[in-house]
Amino acid sequence: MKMMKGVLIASIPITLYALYSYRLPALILISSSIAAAVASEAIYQKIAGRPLKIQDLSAVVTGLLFSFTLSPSTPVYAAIISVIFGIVVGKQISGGFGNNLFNPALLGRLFLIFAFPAALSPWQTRVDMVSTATPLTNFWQTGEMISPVNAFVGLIPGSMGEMSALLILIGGLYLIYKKYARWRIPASILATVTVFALAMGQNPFFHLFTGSIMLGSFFYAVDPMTSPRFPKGQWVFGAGVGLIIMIMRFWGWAAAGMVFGVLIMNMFVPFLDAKLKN
Amino acid sequence: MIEESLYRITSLVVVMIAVFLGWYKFKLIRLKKEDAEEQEIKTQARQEAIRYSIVIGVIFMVTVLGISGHLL
Repeated sequence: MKMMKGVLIASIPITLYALYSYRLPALILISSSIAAAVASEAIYQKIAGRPLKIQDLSAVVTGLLFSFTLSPSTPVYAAIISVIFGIVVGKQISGGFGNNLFNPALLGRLFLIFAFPAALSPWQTRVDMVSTATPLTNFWQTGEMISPVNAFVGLIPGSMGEMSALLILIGGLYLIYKKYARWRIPASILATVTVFALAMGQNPFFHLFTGSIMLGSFFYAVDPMTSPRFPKGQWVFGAGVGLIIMIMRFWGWAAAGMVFGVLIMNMFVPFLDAKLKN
Repeated sequence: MIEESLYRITSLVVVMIAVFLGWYKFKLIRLKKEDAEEQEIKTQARQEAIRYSIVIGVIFMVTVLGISGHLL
């Protein structure tokens, strides 16, 4: 509960910036994602005869983190169905909070791009809401890179939660300071991305600040239920996530690899916990 | 677009249910050979079957997205 409150506090700057940038569409998507997550969790627990635990705020966090992955033009019905999938399949049928193998917010996101392939496009610019390509999609399609400074500050289009690396960093550092997030995981992801970008002869700051690398490193990959418990495992987990993201960026079928990186590495967490104890 | 969504969701549900039922039966047979209580065996088999069906569901979604991404 305390940790969930911490995540919500850390998410405030990102949420406010999404609301400022995308206005009403952001408000509708964020509130409907949270409401659907909480309602589906409550209904499932009621049907399964389990004690109602929505007051632990984990469903609120899942709904909010799920909404951060959305384009402002995502149909509301697609967002609602996907977050319900994330909560029910990713969390509740595994036994509830603490027993899940996958991050439920990212599982919902994977379901969204799987079941509603057209739902995430077109993207819209931050201010005038005109359809456009994100800097990452542009890089992926043409190789062009925008100024990392704009991406760091938040002057670029993107998912509701990924626009400003600065605000994500503030929230992420708060989580680490409060010990709600394991610092080795973001450190390992960011180091892997940096080394990979340098090895490919590219500006690492562009890769760090575009797409969902910062958001994923500080908010998704560090989920204590779905990440390794021991330091060595955390380094390997982070390196694996970073490597998958960069492979996807350079040779994959989609520009954004965070969802694939984290979910694939989630599968190895029991193995990492068993083999890489201190 | 709606047809594609329905087709994908249905195929995912079929794959996950098939893996669940297959693993549940397989695990049940294996555990019955051991000397354990029936209810305990069923619970353990069900939990494992759920876990594997979700893992295969994720792999299925990633694979389908990969194949369709390369084809487009």
